[in-house]
Amino acid sequence: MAGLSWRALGTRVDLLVDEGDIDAAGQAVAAVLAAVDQACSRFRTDSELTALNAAAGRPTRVSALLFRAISAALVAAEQTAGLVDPTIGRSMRLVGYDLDFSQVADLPAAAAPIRFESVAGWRVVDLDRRARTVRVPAGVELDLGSTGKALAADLAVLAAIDAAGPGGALVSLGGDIAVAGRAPEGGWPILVAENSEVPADGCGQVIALHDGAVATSSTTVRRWLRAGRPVHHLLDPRTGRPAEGRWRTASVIAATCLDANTVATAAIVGGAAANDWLTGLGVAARLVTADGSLETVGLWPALAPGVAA
Amino acid sequence: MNSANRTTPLERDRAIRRLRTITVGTTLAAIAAAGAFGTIAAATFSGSSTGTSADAGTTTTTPATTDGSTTSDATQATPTIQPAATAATTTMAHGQVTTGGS
Repeated sequence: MAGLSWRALGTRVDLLVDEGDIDAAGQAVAAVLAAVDQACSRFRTDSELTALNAAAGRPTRVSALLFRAISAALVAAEQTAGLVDPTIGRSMRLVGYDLDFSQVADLPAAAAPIRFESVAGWRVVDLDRRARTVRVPAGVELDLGSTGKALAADLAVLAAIDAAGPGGALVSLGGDIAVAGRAPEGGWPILVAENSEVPADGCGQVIALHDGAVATSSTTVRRWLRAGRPVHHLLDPRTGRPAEGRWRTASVIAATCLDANTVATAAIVGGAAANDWLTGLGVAARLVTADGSLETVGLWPALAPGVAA
Repeated sequence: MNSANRTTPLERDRAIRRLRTITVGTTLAAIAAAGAFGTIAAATFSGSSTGTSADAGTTTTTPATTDGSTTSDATQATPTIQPAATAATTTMAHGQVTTGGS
């Protein structure tokens, strides 16, 4: 087993390759992440998404990658009845998340004004598949931060396996993890935590992932002060306010990282009201309540007695 | 057979011309009706060729190439969220990566 780690898309990247060319895989993953950043970043002035958000309602031809990322985000919105909605960009900016998070956290913005606005809703975005154009109404801003990172993990692991050879590969983007190819014996061991910066060999539940993906959303990270109040990055599209539901952290195992991330984010935003939906999906989930107790859904691996969140 | 009902070649030619006129007229009317129906349908149902948000709901799920492009223009219903093919298991091994919020 060989591994590489570096930073991209504003987060930590981990690549593991079992029986393959790790350097070739690393180059392939880096190329995918660079392309995703160029297409989908809301924080780069030269990104395609920034240009699209500034197009003031004009249909704009975009790259195949951005078109796919926006399509995926709109599908996620449809699947979650708007709990995960890419038109959240303006609301994110109004609560102060208008820079790469490393800069947001450093700003003396505790006294800066704050506004909460609900979103326009994903149905206002027009796609023309044949012309590969997107129209975002004036005043609406897309943010692909959630689904975009998960899609990037799915694309990156496929690129890794193509480049590395016949073994297996794992790509983690800030805790959104996708695997492909042949899993090592016993599966890919993954520590489940609330913060992806927790060292992987630390204490806690370790699960073995054999295929698919696992993603975690949490209100305990990416927090900052705005107008003297703590806010975080998981906004409820219906109100534009930071989600304050039953769960503070949700980890989900699904066939793709995009699916896992979509469900995890929707669980946080929807809270207890999303329970029936979550159960009916058939995915495995691990939920941490606001007071730190654990609940699991579906075929989530059994928790050892005394394991904490 | 009653010879009084027989038609002359001239009469047959006239009948055929009338039939052609009726056929062409019917065809043109059918084309016009189909066009009108298409216009109404396009205005009524989202997902038209000009694209609406509902197009996203019929996004192709053709596996992406590494640049994210798709290889098919076919559309289908909104894909459903899928569980992993194999259930994850508990392991006593140390983790090699961490899933968590970021």
